[in-house]
Order: sequence, then C-alpha cells, then structure tokens
Amino acid sequence: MLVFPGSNDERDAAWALGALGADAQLVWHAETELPRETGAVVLPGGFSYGDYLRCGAIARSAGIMGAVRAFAAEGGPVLGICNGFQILCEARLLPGALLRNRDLEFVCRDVQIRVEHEDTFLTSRCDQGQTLTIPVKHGEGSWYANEELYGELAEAGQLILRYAEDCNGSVGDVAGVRDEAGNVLGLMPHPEHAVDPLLGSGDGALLLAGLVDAARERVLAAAPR
Amino acid sequence: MRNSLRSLGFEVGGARVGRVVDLDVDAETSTAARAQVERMCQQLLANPLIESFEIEIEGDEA
Repeated sequence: MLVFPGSNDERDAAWALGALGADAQLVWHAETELPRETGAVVLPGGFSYGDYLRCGAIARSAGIMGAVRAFAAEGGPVLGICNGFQILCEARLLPGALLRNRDLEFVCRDVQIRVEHEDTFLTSRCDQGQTLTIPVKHGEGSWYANEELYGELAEAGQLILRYAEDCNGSVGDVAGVRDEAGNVLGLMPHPEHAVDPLLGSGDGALLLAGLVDAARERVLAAAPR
Repeated sequence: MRNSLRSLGFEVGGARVGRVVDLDVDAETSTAARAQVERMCQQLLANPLIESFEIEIEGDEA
C-alpha cells in the first residue's frame, strides 16, 4: 500500500485487505524499493501532493514509482483507487485521464457499478453484468478518452467497470479500466469503503478479494520450493 | 465565472481559466530554452490527452 503525502484512504484499504487475509504494509512514497514478497501494489485514494498541477501528476515521479513500474512491467498486479487511479493515468500506466466532474460538484455517495468483464484480477469473483453498490467520493473523477482511444479500449475489453447510473460525466460511464496487459487496473469507486453490510454494502469485498487472490498466487509462485 | 462576470454587467462570450507556469531556466540560446521547456511540458506540465500548451520565451541575457 503506497502512501503519498496527502493520501488518506491507505488505512481503510489496508484494513479491508487485512480482513480479507492479506498482510498489507504501508510503503512511503520516498522509498525506492517495494517490500520483499510483494504480491500486489495498491495506490490508495486521497489528495497526493495536494492535487497540485493536476490530480496525480506529481506522484508519478515519486521515488517509489520506479519500483512500481518495474513490478507492473513484470506482470505484478497493481490497483489504483480514486487518486491512485488518477496517478496511474498520469503515469501513463493506464489509458485516459480524469477530469473535473461534469457538474463541477464533488460527488460523495453510493453508486451502482456494473461489471463489464470478469476476466481481471479485480472482477474474478464477480459475474459479467453483475451490479455492485460501492461509494464514490471525488471531484475529478470524470474519466476521459477521445473517440479513437475509447473505441480501441472498448474493443480490447479494457473498460472493465461502468457506472449503472449517472455519476460524473465519464465517457461511456466508465468507472474502471485496465491496461493492455491486464495487470494494472484503476477505478474511481472505493471498494475498501464497502466491505461490510453495516457500512451500507459488502460488495467492495468481492473486488478486493480478487486482488488478494492474485497477490497470493504471485507470492506463492515466487516462493522457493 | 462567466456568469459572475455577466451578473456584474459585462458582456462576455466565452470564458476559460487556464494555467500559467513561469520557469527560470539556464540555456545558451532561446532555442535551447524552448526545447527544455517543451520536454517539461510533455513529461509533466501538460497532459497531452486533455491539455495543450504554448511556450513563450522571455530572454534575460545575463
């Protein structure tokens, strides 16, 4: 779990992953190496570097990002949530960009999102077409790609989650995307805030459990026999 | 912002807020300075998917 100055969801996310059986360790942005036996990397929500310049723009050159790029390049699962998604887009590890919400208002509520593709580590425990209730809380969450890029991504199956209701003006109501290889994913909704029905929904646990599965597989595959 | 200007009685058609970044760079020539800033824009200052940029060089021949 990376922590940038201004990250604020890292503890919720670490707690949620812990409840799902993962050992989530916080890694400060100025580090240059990921912990040994890292099975997956999560970039949490927040306002890294105060959202200066553009949301996520400064974080792309943080010390730890070299190690994250290397981890991603060798197939390691990387998930960006909200500001983490913005960072991955700015780092050009994910396609598109996040703009101000269409109505220029901060959106903070539960939304319905639809699983478009179940063949990713995040959606492996879901069914295609399944609707999940997960909260959003963002001011700059309107995902944008021009027509040409959008067409390519749709064709390639990289638009993995869509809002099932009007949320923020995202092109195609896209809520989450993956990279070409499929091991780097980002989404604006916060699955870590929806892991217990007491808090309104447990649907986020379905997504995060898929991430924990992928992380476990990676650690076991790398372990000496 | 446009509506606010209009409510003050100004006749405003379009209005947009942009960003200006002032940079001091050491360079032998203005061409070299421009090349440096161009790279800064491409790598960080502008996101080419959603933004465009213009560069103006003001020489301070020190």
